[in-house]
Amino acid sequence: MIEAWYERVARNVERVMVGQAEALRLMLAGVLAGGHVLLEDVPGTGKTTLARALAVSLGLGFKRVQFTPDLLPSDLTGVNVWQDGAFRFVPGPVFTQVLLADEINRATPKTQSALLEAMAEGQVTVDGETRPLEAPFFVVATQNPIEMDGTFPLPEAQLDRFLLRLRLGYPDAAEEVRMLERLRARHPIEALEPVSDAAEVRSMQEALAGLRMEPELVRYVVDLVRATRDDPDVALGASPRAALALQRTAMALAALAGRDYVLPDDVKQAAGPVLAHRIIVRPEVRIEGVTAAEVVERALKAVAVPTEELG
Amino acid sequence: MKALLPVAAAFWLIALEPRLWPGALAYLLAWFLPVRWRGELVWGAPLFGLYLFWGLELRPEAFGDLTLRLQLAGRLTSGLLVWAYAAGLARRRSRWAAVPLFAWAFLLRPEAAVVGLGLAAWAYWNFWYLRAQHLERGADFRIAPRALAVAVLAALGLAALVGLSGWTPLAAPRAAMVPVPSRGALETPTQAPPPPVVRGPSGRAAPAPAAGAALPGWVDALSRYAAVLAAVASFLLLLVLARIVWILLRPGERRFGFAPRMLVLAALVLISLLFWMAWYGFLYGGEGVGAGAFAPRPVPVTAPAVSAGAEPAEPSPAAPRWPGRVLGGALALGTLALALLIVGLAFALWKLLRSRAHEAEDPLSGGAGVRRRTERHAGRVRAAYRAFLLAMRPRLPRPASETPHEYAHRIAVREPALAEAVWGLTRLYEPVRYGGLADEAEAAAAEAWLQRIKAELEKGEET
Repeated sequence: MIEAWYERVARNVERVMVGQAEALRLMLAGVLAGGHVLLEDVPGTGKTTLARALAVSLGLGFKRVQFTPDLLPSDLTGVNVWQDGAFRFVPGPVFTQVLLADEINRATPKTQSALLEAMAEGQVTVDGETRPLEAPFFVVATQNPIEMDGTFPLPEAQLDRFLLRLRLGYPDAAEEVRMLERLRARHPIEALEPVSDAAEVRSMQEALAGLRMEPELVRYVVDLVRATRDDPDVALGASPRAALALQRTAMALAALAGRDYVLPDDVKQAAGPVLAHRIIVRPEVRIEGVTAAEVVERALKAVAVPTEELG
Repeated sequence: MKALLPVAAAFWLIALEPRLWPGALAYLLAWFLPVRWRGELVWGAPLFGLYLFWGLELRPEAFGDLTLRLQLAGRLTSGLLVWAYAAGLARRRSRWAAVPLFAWAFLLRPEAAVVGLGLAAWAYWNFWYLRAQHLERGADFRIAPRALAVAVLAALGLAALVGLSGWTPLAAPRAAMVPVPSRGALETPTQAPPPPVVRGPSGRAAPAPAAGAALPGWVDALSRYAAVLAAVASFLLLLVLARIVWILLRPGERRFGFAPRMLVLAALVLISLLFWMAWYGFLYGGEGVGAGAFAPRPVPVTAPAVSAGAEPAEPSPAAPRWPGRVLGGALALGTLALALLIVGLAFALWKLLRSRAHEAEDPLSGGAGVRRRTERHAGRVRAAYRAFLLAMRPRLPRPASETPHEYAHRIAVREPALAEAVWGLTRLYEPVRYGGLADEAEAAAAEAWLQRIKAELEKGEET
């Protein structure tokens, strides 16, 4: 059921997005797992297009916010305005289902943190009044890892709220040719039709709970996360929230593959996107070129996969 | 499931003497322990059997006698040691290394051979059962040499301790507290054994058989062996009952894997009960005739006098003839068996209805035509994959951090001749290992892929 839904959505998105099948799969896993995605890549790789195509294909409400240094929290959450003798709440762009936070690291930490409540709890509090967001609520944030001037790196607490961090990368030559041919006329995203709706997405998210995950695989997830904490090159390892995120993402990947059980391969595939952005490498080894992704790779090579004991 | 326990408890209470109720209830209540400890209770079944068997002597007056008290303490302690050691081994892979522990029974007396055989049968039963369990899980099943060595040493040590203490576990229930005749006494039946205090299973001193002419040695020996056989029979009975409870407590598919063999167990129960009834006459442990049921004449115990300090013997009640006792016992057995059968059938029916309801609800099951997926078949698939890993180990071992999929991919690249078979086996293995059960066809296919891999490997070695 989930596999068919995935095929349908992926086919639709691929009408406008060429060569990002893996990123799309992981983003859909993020949607299923009820998490948020941070797209990190250089400009022009299709981050915005992918997020928009996904929102349209899923039939979800979509809003885009360009994050700038002068963006205020109320610009996101909304404000109470005095109108006709009473305060009336004017909802901000966060009141949607897919929010594209473009170049999120250009806004001040104060504005960035205005998203925390929405991302973690699916609600927004303005002037002491809490308003729920419509489910499913999915934040796709983008940031440019190269151009760091005038940016405010996301705080750890906010990074931890992102289920996945993905890098799209450049398409290969054949894919780029295909893209040019396809986008010769007007951009097809204008003609993209939804192939799902919010109710279906919610039912898919609920179906995820029925997946089987062997206790030994759960232990494998925990061992992986703990291995990042024990790594001598790491100043801050992955949190217990990271373990939860890894488990849910692995389950979502299994569901997208049409399985009702999780494989260790699902965990391995999810490990990089889920864990790397939550790990802080020690500064002294960072300057030697050690990255968080390498720490995750080391953990994957150090932790035994549960299979059969040979004695 | 636990709702059946009060029913079972009621049967135990009917079948046992009141003074044995606390132990029986304690054993039954122990089944409320967490699931992971229940397995140890099966190992504890023999101890419970010992309790019931020798518990017949747990009467207040026994505690006034220092010798009896020491003997009792020795029995309970050594029984507990055996249990604890077996249970300890049970947590390890080579738990059946506990088998040598039972060799101690052979070191004590000739009659011990019979008890030893019973214990060996029990040990073999456990061995078979555990082997099946391991194979189901696809786990390794072999004896760890260190555990075996420890078991042998422990057995010898225990035997030495038991030998030094002078305790023997082999007295028949009616004469359990009596100094046991020596080997010589058995070999030369004309030599009178020391005057015994003959106690009935109910704890009262029973009248000793009337003095009579000495019987031939073989009759005496047969009589004694029959007494021990009755003990073994009751022991087996308890064991089988514990097994039945255990199997009923096993969840879902795992329970029915051994169903055909349970018929053998049922036959064992019947035979055991016949022995038991023939010995005791009544299920509740009344004053039976003991070996007299088997021997043509009373056992040649020539000294009926009650030893000093012991309670006086009560007059013998007019006991019915042994066919009458057997019939009485059979009636009790029939009632018990019928009640158990009704409970068992009700339970099986409930399970059947529930599994059908689940099949109807589960869209993946495919309804009534679904193939039977069991843990046993899953165990075969896992065993095949394990054998594959072992076969590949000298040639292209799997690193611990590699998933089955990654490993198959690596083999396919390095050994193209193996690719198809390895992928075939891996695709069968993954859903079983991480997803649950398998059916007969999958298990057979996994084994076929394994044979093909082995054949390819052998071919490769030849060339």
